[in-house]
Amino acid sequence: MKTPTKCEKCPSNSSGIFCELSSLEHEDVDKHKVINKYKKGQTLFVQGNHPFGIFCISTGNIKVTKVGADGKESIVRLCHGGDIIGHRSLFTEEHYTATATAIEDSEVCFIDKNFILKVINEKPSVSLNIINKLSTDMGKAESKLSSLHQKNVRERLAELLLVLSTSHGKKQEDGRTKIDLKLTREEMATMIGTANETLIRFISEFKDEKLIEQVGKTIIINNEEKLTEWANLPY
Amino acid sequence: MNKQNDLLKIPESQIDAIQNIVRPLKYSSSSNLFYAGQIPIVAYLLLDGLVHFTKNGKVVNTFSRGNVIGLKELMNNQPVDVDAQIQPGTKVCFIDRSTVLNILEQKVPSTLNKVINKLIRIDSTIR
Repeated sequence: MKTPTKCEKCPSNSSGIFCELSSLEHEDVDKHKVINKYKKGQTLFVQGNHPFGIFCISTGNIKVTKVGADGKESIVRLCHGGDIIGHRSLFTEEHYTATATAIEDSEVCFIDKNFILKVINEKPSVSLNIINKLSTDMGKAESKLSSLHQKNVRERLAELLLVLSTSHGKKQEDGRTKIDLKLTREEMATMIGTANETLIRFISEFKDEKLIEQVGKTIIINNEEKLTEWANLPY
Repeated sequence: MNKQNDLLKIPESQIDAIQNIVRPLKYSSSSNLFYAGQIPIVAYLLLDGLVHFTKNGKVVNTFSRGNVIGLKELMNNQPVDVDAQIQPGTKVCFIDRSTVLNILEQKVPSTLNKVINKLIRIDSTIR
């Protein structure tokens, strides 16, 4: 029998929804959770399926995508260690309205609906942490919506790079920030609502201006200050 | 169909007992229930339709009404070595870990408790 990683030893525990629970309470979560490794490309759940619990990301990155009537996939959210997914459908009792796919090898815990609802009822800190995550997600969705309406593609790309730099950035010794996430051009294009070709054109422009650098699929931000100017961020 | 699958079958009376605890749901399209190398996140009781176990793209086993799959693996944190693909129109009951623990912790063991206790010892991937 394989012993699952304990919540207390999870690398993302400090940013997870169970961060304020005691050791004994963590043990109860350990008893009820199922921990799995998902390889790149494997799905956690598919749009239209029935939700029966929530997924807590321990390590790795998961993309949440929606498929339109034309069959085109667009990324609505990127999740990493400490984030939860599948909770919205769980509370609204709707089918999943999006698909969750691992974009790199990831370790994810599943907690069934009966248990998580019991914990929410009994532990206010867990409820507050879930509300906090829902509020953060809503804030990001609102910002994205206003960006799509009010900004041009160049501003949206600059904003996306800054967002990725905050969520997945690793500061290097020389002061530059490496975005530790390998997204395809197509994936990035869907995130800012533009065509592949347009995205490639603006990435080249950013590179020419020495704002960013590219090593394979990895993007390094050279000049965050100028990128912030280009993103036309509100104060 | 594999005759050993009968070991994973539960009596009709117990299918009703499970349906009283968990709501049955129907899959409108084909979907992966779990992948090889993973622990199933819930166990599945098949009410109607089929679930295929595949290995390297080939179907190695097929399950039908009354079969409970993934229970031993779920409760023992044991990864499976096959992919499970549910066929369109298949009706299943999802039995999560909390539900199983509740059944197992009954002070006065019911028939369902005994059935679950027996199934917990049987691999879903027997061939």
